Amino acid sequence: MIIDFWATWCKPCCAELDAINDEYADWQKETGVKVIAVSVDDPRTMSKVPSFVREKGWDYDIYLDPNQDFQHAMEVINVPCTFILDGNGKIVYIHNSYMEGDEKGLHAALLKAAGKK
Amino acid sequence: MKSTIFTFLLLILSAFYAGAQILNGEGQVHGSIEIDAQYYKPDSLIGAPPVPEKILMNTYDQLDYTNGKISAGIRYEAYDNALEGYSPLYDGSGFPYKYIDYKSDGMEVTVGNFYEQFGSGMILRAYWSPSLGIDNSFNGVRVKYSPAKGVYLKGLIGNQRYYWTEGAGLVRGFDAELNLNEMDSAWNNMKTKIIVGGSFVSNYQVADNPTYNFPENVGASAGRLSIINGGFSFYTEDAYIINDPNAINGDIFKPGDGALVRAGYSQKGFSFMLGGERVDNMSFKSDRTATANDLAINYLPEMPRDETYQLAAFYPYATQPNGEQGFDAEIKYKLPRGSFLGGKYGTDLDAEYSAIRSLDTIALNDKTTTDQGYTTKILNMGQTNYFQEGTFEIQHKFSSDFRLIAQYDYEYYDKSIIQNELAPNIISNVGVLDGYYAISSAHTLHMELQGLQTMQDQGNWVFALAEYNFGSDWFLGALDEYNYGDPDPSLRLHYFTITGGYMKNALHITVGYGKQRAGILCIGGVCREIPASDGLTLSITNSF
Repeated sequence: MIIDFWATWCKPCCAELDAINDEYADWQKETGVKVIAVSVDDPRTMSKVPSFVREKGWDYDIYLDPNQDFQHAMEVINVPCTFILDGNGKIVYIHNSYMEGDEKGLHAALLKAAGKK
Repeated sequence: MKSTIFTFLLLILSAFYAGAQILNGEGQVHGSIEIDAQYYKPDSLIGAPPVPEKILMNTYDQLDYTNGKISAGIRYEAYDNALEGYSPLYDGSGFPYKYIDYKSDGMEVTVGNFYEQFGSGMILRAYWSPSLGIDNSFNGVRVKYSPAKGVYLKGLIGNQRYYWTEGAGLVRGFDAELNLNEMDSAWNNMKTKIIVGGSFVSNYQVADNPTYNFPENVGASAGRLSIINGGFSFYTEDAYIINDPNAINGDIFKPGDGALVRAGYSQKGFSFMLGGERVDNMSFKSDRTATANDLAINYLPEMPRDETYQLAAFYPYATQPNGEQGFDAEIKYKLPRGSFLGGKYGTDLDAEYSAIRSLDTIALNDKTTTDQGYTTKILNMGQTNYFQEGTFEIQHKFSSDFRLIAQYDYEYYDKSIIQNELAPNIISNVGVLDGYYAISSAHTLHMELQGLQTMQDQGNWVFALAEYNFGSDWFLGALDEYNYGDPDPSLRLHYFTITGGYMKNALHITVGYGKQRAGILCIGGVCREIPASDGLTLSITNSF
């Protein structure tokens, strides 16, 4: 499972989720991975999230964390922040920030977590 | 299209997360560390004052322990001394945040410090934003209970954090939310999703003013409704505060009210959102003498977007709690993949316009001890234009290695209202070009070029940034902000900064050297002044 903290106003977050979405179908076939995208949009922008996601066409499960309770529980300081949880619910990968091509590193870590590599 | 939206259901995810830990049969410790330090050099030209300590540092360090149904945590904070731009009332160190939490069978009890939000926060929102210097957490008890499927109740009582002490007011709050689709199995599979909620908050503060007969208990209530049907969404929240004379509204006894409406339609590749809001005398704090961002019980959601580019965010809007009304409209469209203009990956277009004006009020000449101050003509727009912004953005991915964003931004900004200082209104035009290029899998280049044009204030600015990421963990960057159009030629200054850093997993280390211009940082309509500074900065964050 991938947990990705993001927000509608965060450009690198959206670039990352777009990049994952391009590969998502393949990743699911390979590893059965599920992406959970947790929006940390505050009350000002949280009502935009459903439209934002539909427009983007993201096939993720989207959760809202408008007061950052879950963000704090996961010790996330800045977004984007991406976690991979293995089959036992153990965190095996954390990545903070996104640059072009970072999804390749995520994919490699995902294969490793799924025991495919 | 099978993406699902779970509103306010994070409990389930946290339960999964906690559940995963129960399976381990032992408790787990998590934590995070954040250190921000700066060495200051005085620079009279840019207005950076001498800092007697020379070095200042803020740190926030959290430790959380979870074992089955129990979790507990503590946060250490130190301001040795508080960084420039933070209140000196923060100077010192201690443990301002400690909690124990018990979760079982639909019930959750938290004792100690906690954050909370009812609806969109119009009558209650306690949150933590270190970058804004805001922590209005409660110290007390909170109970969350779900007596039946789809029914969520919350109750809380506590005092709010005021730097290293607590505010005078005792806040009591209750919130109920009904998710109709979860409540009834017949509704379960219905296409229309409906959530209704209501809350009541009361603040108690001793009144011992000889002149005014201040109310000791101030109550506030709010109701909300959310309807989603396929691509259509609708959300509204209305709030009312009983007479609350305070330092922000000039001790008037007029009740406050606020309303928020958002409606939208979306489908893959297209969305349209329309929003409207009204704020009339809505400052609600747990101390009637508190000012600025201190001891806020509620939060007023802001209409205009938060600009992320440096120069587009030069004149940011701040919500006016005493009165404003405005609207916001946004259209997003994706030129499809494979089309002539869409290219291989498609092109994203985004246009947004927002306008905020004053309320239409009539001043009352009722100088009594229960002064109402003014009356409002509810359906009229006010005469004063506070803020207008039109933004157009286009984003195109040329290849898997190259992405470009272009943005144009028009803004009207009433500086005397928003920054509360006598100044002419500002009209600005901002252009941004932002590009990302992956040279290879371990080398990425990020460049930004921005220009701001205005006839008022400090005149024209230009901003350039280059960032180079290498070895997937390291980065180096340089930026310059140049005020080439300042009316005073001797103030046409460069603000040059170089940065470098290392990122590995959750660890981030950033070092910067250079000048920072004076400005305002706003997040969601809440703002903090950033003073001009010159010197060396160090930032370390990590979590485990």
